[in-house]
Amino acid sequence: MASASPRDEAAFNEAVRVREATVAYFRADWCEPCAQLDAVFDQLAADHAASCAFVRVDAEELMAVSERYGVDALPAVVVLREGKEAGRLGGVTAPALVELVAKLAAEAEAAKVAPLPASAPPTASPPSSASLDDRLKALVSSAPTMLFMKGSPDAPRCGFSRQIVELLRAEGVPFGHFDILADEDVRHGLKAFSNWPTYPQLYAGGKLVGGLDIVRELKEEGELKDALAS
Amino acid sequence: MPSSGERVKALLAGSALAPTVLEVEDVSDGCGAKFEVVVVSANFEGKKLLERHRDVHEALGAEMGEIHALVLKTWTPEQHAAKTRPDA
Repeated sequence: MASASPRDEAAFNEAVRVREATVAYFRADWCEPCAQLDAVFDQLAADHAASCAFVRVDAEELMAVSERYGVDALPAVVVLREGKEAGRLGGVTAPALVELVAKLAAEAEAAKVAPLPASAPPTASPPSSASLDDRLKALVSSAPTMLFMKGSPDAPRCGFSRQIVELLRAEGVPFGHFDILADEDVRHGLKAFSNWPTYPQLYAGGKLVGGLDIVRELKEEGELKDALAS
Repeated sequence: MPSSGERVKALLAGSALAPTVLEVEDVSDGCGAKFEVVVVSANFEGKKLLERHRDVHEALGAEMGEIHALVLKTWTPEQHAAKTRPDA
């Protein structure tokens, strides 16, 4: 296994046609956070060449590949097995990438030590979209006022999430919360479920009220309490 | 391509919203991820804030994927006039 930087789609397909986990790293020259990750990725590729395959993808040069894996923001890291997506990194940071590769390497080692070809690993099959919908429906209604945010109210991990928490607290509105960074299924699923592209998202009675801008404007207009009561 | 204020502006100006006032400010020091946008459109008449924001998201289409943060003001011409009146 090695590190590859395919120049075209065919070369990419060739590079990922391996049984081992392949770490596909989508990047671009203009992407500032990518510059640091480039070096981290190269180092990981050198250190773990024995257990994983590493493919560096110029996301714009290989636009078709980026589209195939739904890469719409950079940097992105997708784990492939025999060319099929087997996972992906939510927030792509150097520590997260290091942790991911360490995990994949450990799995590869474990598989070498105890080859159990007959028993499939007990990983849960990805939830079907129907059951995810049910789950989201239950989640948005799990409190009369429900906030989907990055982090928790006491440790928000995004400025907008922090501001919406402050605003709700200033209004004296009790609310339940869900940390979307802790659950990739919910993070992606809820965007589609509610046709709303960003977080935080505030729900009242299971219905989307809006993001920070809307909540702030409702508050300024004195309509927030009504909107949450409805 | 990173998003740019000009692209955001062009997408909104050419959209069905037909904004009468359109301000796009790049607040991300040029990296194209954060914008503050004011859209004034008669199409917002009778629509709730949620629907107005969805209209803007829709007009931006795939560009939304490049944008990390969008601060939106969506007003009808009437609201805009009220907000910008000096004594308001």
